[in-house]
Amino acid sequence: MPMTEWKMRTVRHIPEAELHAYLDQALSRSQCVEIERHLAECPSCQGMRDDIAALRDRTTALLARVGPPTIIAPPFAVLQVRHAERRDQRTRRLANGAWAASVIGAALLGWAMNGPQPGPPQLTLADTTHPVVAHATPATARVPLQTAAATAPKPADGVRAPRLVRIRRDDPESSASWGFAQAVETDPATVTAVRSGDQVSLSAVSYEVPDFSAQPVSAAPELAGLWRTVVPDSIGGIRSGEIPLVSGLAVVQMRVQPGHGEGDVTAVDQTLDSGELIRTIAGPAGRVGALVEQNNELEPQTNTAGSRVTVTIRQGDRMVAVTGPSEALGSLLSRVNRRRY
Amino acid sequence: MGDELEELYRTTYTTVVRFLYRKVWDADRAHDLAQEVFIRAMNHKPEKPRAWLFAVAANLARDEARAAVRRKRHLTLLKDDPITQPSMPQAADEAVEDNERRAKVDGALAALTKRDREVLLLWDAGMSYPEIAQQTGLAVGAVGTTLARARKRLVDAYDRMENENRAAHS
Repeated sequence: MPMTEWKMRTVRHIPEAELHAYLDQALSRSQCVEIERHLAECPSCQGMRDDIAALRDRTTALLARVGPPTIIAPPFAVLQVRHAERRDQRTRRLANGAWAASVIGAALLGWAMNGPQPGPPQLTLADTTHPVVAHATPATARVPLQTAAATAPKPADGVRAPRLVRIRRDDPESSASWGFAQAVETDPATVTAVRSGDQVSLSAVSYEVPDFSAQPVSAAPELAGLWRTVVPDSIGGIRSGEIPLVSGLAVVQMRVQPGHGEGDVTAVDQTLDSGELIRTIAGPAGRVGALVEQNNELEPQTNTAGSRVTVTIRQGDRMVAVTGPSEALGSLLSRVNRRRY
Repeated sequence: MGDELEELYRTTYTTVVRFLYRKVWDADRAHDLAQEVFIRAMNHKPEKPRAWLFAVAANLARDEARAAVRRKRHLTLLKDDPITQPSMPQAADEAVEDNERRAKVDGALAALTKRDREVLLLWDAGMSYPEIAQQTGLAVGAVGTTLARARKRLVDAYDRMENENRAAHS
């Protein structure tokens, strides 16, 4: 109810709802002044104000009784990682959908170009002898899947440039091993059609690759603990400038280990043109130190480029550790972005 | 937007959890839903993030309530099966009192109309009258009236339950 309405009435008392709004500080300054002027002269409204204040306090107290015991917010980075993972999943689903659509299109196109096949006029999905069902049951389709895949759209640039990818080799006689290699991505349509071969993990996206020529670069030992792979440019809250890394080098992988209060640990793998791996680990000194120790135990003692060393930079309780080939590390250290540390 | 959302997360997460808790009555579930709200906010980048958070939280809680009803129906079907009936552990006195108190407030909240309850919980979550009006579709001037009624009914319903409880024990 507008203020002027109650002011002009014969019975000049403040409406109850207006007093609630007044106590909730939901009125303008001028409205508050009017109410306070009236309250100063009206014992009846003063009594009502006190009653409403008590009611308001009691309501708050009742609702406060039923809150959860303790509320501890997880670090924001945890939510960012979950968000990034979900977006990656969505992207993959979309890519798979697009691939499936292209294969269906290719199959239908092939069918249309070859003319209708002899057979019953009513086609159903159970009719596995007809090309139109190639997308639904490829194993029993008449049109070979390779033919369909070959007609799927190719990348606009034709040939993909070699990229550094992280590879997991599943050896049945020993445990899986990880490494890095320069590899050419195969057309996803062809890649996903073949269900055998090595599995390659590129950032957070996995591809199945039937064959690729890879030149192994330096082996990267696994880091202990639970890590979340993040895509550097895709996380709004994590700016590349805030994560210590060597500026100017290609990022192979960026990972975050939530710190639960004491600060996150970040690990960034980058590569030199020669294929050598540079790893920058940053975070609380104790945790970084332990990781460096474990990392050094697993680092290969020699490789094609010579020995690998780790240099640590400590500021207060924070530490940045950079591991790479000894002859290159000296010049790289000056390029480490460690603004936060 | 990232920084703004992070700041909002720091200042609002507790309130969102509390808001959700009073709707789903399960602390873990309230935390899960609150995190879901903020993850969705990262995706949508809403213009008025605070009001948006509570609107989404209310929707998630509503979905949760529907799922709970479905679960309850399922449990009712299983009720006659002696194997599926769990034996109730002996709870501590304090926990029993807490549960009774919570059940009374829960019951008192349930006695309100849906709109009164929504307005009261949004106000308790720290939302302003214009924000409550925007979310509930009420006129700003009607928020005070609704709150006045909701507060009175909540306290009346709670007192009534207390009196009934006392009468039952005497």
